[in-house]
Amino acid sequence: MAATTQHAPPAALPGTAPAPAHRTRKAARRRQLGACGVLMAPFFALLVTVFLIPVGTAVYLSFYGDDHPGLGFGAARTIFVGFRSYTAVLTDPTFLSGLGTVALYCLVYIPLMVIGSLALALLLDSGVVRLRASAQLGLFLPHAVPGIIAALIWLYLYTPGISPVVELFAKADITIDFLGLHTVLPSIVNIALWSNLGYNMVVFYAALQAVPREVIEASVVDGAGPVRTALQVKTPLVRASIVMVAMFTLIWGLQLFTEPMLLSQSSPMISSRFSPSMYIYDAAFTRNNYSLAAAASVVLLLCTIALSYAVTRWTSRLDRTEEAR
Amino acid sequence: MPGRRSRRSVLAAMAALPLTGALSACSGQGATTAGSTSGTTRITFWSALRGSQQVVDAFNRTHDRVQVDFQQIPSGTQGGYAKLSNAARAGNAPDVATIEYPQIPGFAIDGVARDISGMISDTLKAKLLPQALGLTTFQGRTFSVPLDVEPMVMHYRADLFEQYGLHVPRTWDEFAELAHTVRRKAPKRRLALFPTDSLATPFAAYCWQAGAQWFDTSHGAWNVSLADAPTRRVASYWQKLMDEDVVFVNAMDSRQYDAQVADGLVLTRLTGAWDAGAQMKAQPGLKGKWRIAPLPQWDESRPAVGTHGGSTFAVTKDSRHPEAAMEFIEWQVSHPDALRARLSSGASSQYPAVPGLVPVDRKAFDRSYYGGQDIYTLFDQEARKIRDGWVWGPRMTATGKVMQDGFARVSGGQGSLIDAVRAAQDGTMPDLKALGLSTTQHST
Amino acid sequence: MSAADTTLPRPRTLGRATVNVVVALSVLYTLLPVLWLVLAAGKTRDALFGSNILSLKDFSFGRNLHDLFAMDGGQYGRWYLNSLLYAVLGAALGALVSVACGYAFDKYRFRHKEKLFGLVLAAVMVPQTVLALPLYLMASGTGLVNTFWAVFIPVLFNPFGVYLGRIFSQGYVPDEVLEAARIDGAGELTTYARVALRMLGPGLVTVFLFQLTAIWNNFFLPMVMLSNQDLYPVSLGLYTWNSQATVEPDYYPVVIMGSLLAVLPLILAFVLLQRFWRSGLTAGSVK
Repeated sequence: MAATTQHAPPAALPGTAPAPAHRTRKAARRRQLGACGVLMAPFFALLVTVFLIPVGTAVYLSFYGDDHPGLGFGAARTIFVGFRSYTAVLTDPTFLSGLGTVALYCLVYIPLMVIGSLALALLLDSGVVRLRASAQLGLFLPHAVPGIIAALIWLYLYTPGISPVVELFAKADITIDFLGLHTVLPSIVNIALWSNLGYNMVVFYAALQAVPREVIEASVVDGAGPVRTALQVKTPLVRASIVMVAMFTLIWGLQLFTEPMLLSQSSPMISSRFSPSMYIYDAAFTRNNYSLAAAASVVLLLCTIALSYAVTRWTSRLDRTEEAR
Repeated sequence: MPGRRSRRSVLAAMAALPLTGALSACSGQGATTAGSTSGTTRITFWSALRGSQQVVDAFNRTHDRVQVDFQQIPSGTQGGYAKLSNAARAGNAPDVATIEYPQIPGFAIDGVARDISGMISDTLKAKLLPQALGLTTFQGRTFSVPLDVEPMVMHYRADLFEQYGLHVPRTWDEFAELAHTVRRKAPKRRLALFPTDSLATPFAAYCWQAGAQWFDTSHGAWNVSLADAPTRRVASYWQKLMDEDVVFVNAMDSRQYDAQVADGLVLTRLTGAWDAGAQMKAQPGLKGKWRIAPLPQWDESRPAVGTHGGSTFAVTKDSRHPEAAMEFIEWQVSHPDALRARLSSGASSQYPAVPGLVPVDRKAFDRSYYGGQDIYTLFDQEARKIRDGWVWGPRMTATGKVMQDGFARVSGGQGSLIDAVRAAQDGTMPDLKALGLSTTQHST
Repeated sequence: MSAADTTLPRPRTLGRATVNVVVALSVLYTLLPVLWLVLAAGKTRDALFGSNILSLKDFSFGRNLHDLFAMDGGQYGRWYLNSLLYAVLGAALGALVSVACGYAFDKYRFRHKEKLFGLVLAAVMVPQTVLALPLYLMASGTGLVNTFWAVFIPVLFNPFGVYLGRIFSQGYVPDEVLEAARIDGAGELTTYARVALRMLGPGLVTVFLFQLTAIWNNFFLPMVMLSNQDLYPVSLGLYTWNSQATVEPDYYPVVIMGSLLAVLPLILAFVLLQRFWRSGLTAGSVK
């Protein structure tokens, strides 16, 4: 497959007759490459069939679509439609508002997630927390709860009549509609935060544990308090992890689908095109408009790539200025 | 007749099996290929309509040449339409599919529903209510055959009307006045509900009645004008009632609404004729308390109504026996035995698209729920008032969804009804353009 | 995992208390919803609405459990088995495939290796929703749509597993071992299967565990691919039931009980296999 074509053995130097030792080394090398190919083949077969071809198909579909001229009751034909589907997507206010929703979601969610999980990791790393291992396990537990079920649990915790939370608020004379017009996005952020806070905390904690203790001790000698040590010494040292967590949170955030899809069953405030992913689903499977759905997919993909690229560029520039100092 | 018995039990067993896509695919394939070798043609039929099994049984009992395999599927928006589209893409759609009026243009454009203009007999055409047939015909080509057509009527709580001394409103002005009266006399009750779901089909019916023309194909292109003058009038009318808090604004397909009806909080239901039967099933405890009246009019000298609900049958592109499929459809929509079989599954107040069948319906309908009122005479009158020329759009499910989402936001305190309508227009145009359809956006 | 205690100056007791309170509150935030699920699963429909969640008056755990497996002709049991099949089989096979590939990336040199690895990492970034429509159309074209395979094959693909596999291979399988095996004349694949795979064991379990969660979580793909309810995984099944619960409240207790049962295997796996996923996350973060 793709993998095996990639590692052709290096060409022998021209004009030199291969010595016997050389030949055996070459044979060994060929054997190794063969084994390498065998080990990689299954994965790359999957990569091609469930990743490369689909991405290619999405791009193809976005430029070629069924055309229904006139009123559309005649026979349809598949033609090159150029940027027609892209124009349609980018002028569709429902798609743009979906992009806006996800942008807002990410703006709220990512900082909360990164700061929250890092803070917890720093607290656990400070060495003063009792039952540290149990606390970690407790914080991590929601990650084991499937997304749809996390959304279900919280949906019920948002539903008046079932929810002890709503009841608690009611007792304090506060009526709060968690699925209202302005509350529904924070409610979704809460579900995502709940699910992933512990996971990222463990990532940060592991990174902190890997920092050599001498580095930290050195700064402590300088007379820094625990808070300053955490913020000015430890945090910069796990910068790579922060970037990684932010990046993955971003990528997952842009795909926002499961939580709003489930909450939409109970909240009319979540439209069927609430997020770009829901738009794609709706375009493909409610509106049977594959070209439109494909164009929206490609736009979402480009947004993801551009933002990820921006994050890496930005952080590497920060790194450089850091080093320059 | 042992042979017949065993075949029926097989059919019954098939219906009892879980409704599986894989099974349907197999039976679909098997049915169409087994085909005419044995002298009988087997066709497949999908529907979410209650009583379909009984209709199919009756058909199979009385026909030898054509036999029907029936599969009950979820209703359209509950996954039935997605199932049909998926099957059509995979090339194994059933011979006969059930499609509601708003979705016909979409399935016709997608090539799922076949052009049956050449197959539909003149006798059948003559029997059908012209307005119903008009809704399934585009550019002179017919894509499906109507089963029922449902004029919108006003169901009202006669007991509560009497208790509060209310009169049945005949115009929308009277209706608005009455809404205030109800609010004043019974602060917890409201005259009506403005639904924020149902794909905005009730709102469409109000606009249809008022003379709106959301979609127009008369100039060779899809002219989309959801916010035309009649629609703006209807929107501002209901907006005012909502702002004055004299109507409920919430979903119709909800426990909240069930409670509003059960507790007598809502005094009228503005729905299609079919809802009379559905109500009997859903709220048996309210027997004798409801009556039905014509929908209020804008202009009593030129009465009109729109429709709310109703189904049609289409022959799909994958059918290998379109003539047999057509024969089954024609029997199903026009034969009294078919209607009797359907009604045997439970009370139904459908208004048949073949008005000649009304006597059958009238005879079967138990009037006691409506205090002995002869509702079919009323339906008959109302059906003839259905305003001709209404056209549903090419992506009506999507248009309706965007509109109802806007309505829901209005109920949450954001925007107005007309904003929701405009949003639906803006959310529809990209769809139609991406399909390559010719579009215009002239508006009155 | 032993966290080396830092030799920081002893923080004031107040600070220590604050820290502990903050962490305790966070733990409550993460645990209480799960606890609610456990308590609510024992409630009758009427008790669910309106009665005190802590009271054991209307306790009907057994009945709810029975109802769950009786609802709609025992669909839930089937969904559960489907989920187990998709997740356990998929994760096992997927982990083997990914780790083998990651190992090869670590131990062998060939041209454009890093570019190829970059492609693998890029695959991590691509949203599932982007791939869903083309995958659906491909499955539709090959007749696989609405079958077990339509869900099973795509979930095997786990590029992050390759990344982890490469790191584990670096950490657990010393190059010297391979050299020694080669000198002994052992074949490359034999060495992998007999020696390296054993050393990669903990890494394999980690990749398996995360892929298990991912597949158990999977919702979009089954939703797109499957219309046959008999093939649904638990996630999609509960989604369908919940949509009915808004009109028919009888579904609430079974959805809650069904959620609880669906969560249990994963929680168990994570608690029992702590050692592995912690090392996995460490490997993933320290790079």
